[in-house]
Amino acid sequence: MSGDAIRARVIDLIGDGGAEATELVGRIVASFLTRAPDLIDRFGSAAAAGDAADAAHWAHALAGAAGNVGATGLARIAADAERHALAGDPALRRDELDAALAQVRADLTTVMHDLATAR
Amino acid sequence: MPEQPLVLVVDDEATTLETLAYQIGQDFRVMTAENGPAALDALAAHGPFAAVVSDQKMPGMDGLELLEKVREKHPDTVRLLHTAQTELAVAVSAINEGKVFSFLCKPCPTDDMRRTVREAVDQYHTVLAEREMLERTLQTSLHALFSWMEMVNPRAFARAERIRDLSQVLCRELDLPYTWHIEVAAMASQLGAVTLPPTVMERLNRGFPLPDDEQKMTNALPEVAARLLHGIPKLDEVVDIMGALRATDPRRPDLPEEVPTAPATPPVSVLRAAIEYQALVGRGVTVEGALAILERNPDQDPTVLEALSRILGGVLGSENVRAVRVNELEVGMRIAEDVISVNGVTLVGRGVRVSPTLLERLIEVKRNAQVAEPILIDVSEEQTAHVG
Repeated sequence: MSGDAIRARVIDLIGDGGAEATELVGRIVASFLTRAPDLIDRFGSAAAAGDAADAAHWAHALAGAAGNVGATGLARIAADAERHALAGDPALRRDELDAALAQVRADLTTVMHDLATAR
Repeated sequence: MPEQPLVLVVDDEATTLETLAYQIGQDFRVMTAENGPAALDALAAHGPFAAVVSDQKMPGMDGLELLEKVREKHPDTVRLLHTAQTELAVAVSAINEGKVFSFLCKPCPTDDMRRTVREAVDQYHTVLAEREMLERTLQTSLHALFSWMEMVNPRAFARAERIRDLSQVLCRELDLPYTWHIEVAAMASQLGAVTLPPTVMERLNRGFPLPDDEQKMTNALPEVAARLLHGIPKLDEVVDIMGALRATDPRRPDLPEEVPTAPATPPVSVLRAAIEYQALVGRGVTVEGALAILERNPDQDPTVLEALSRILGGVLGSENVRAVRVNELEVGMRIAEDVISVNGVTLVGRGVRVSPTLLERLIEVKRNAQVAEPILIDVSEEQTAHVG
């Protein structure tokens, strides 16, 4: 489950760092949630324009950013999109990416809320 | 409290960079760069860095290329590759071919990341400590070697010091960096003299013609020094300088003409001039005469000779010597003429600066009424100390 991986990653990052660490990791999560839609937009634009190299670049960035917060499902879709783009087939997977991101956003919000209330 | 080691993290993905800075920042000072060129700029401007953690896939310069440049420009900085699992082949190549310390798989658990970076920083400190120990050992060994030369052959030691000082002044005059390699080569240039019997040394110093067997012994002196230093870690450059000096040594008529000689580097030219000049004045040739002889030697570099002439021009006729007794000697004074014992043995060579150990030794010898007094001290330090 992607939600479990996200929880595990967030807990790993916070470690035993207390409220300060929770706040810092909260900032990293917020930064990801702000940046991810933009990355999907850029990937989408490049794919729509048939620019395979550019699409691969943005898909790679999205995969890295998603993996960084434990969003393994989104990371997998983005990595798959990157592979296709590198193979010269920048298939537009906008809906799939948007849906995965929506799930990640919900999972991250839940996890951060749980951790904040637990401390 | 010593400053925490500095670690550079490089990734073109902003949130990953932020996360790395957070993970590693718990143990070390961290700087971030968003691409290869920015990382190289940071390394040059804010180093030294103990470690650099780089993403592999970045536009423009990738991680491997960056880490290779780091290896070239900052060889002490320990390099780590932070890469996705799908890029395992790159990671293997980085370790096997790029000699990268370790690779970290994305997303890296915090404990693994911190432990690996700590190991990298430990590695950085170990290498630095080993080098420092080697340098200290080398320094101490050389000091022991030259102190031994001072005891065994004070005149050779004094000449070595004069060569060293003149080389330093020449480098300054020529705007060349005066490195420790030049200093050691200058001192070592007279090392072989310790193998000469005192009678031969005396004849050599006075410029008398030597019988064949003694000439052969004298000709072998550079080899003796080169053999002594050969194989000592970090002295390769010194041995190279000695080798270049030997290859065109004008006192080596036995060298076959076809011996290939590398073009003289500036340190070699400086030392060659300093050695020949000191050899000539040591035999009693005047400063003007020595310069004229040097100018006739095609192996001497005219630029160095012009510099030597400028230096000597400023001191000709300005020598100033004072006679003192042993109990008036002070640490730092420079001996103007050889100090000899009452039975004619040279105790200290001309040009040597009085060290606490030397002063102690002279006081001890004086206690046994063995020093010929007065001792002549060079008091025109600024003008003449370095040139002879």
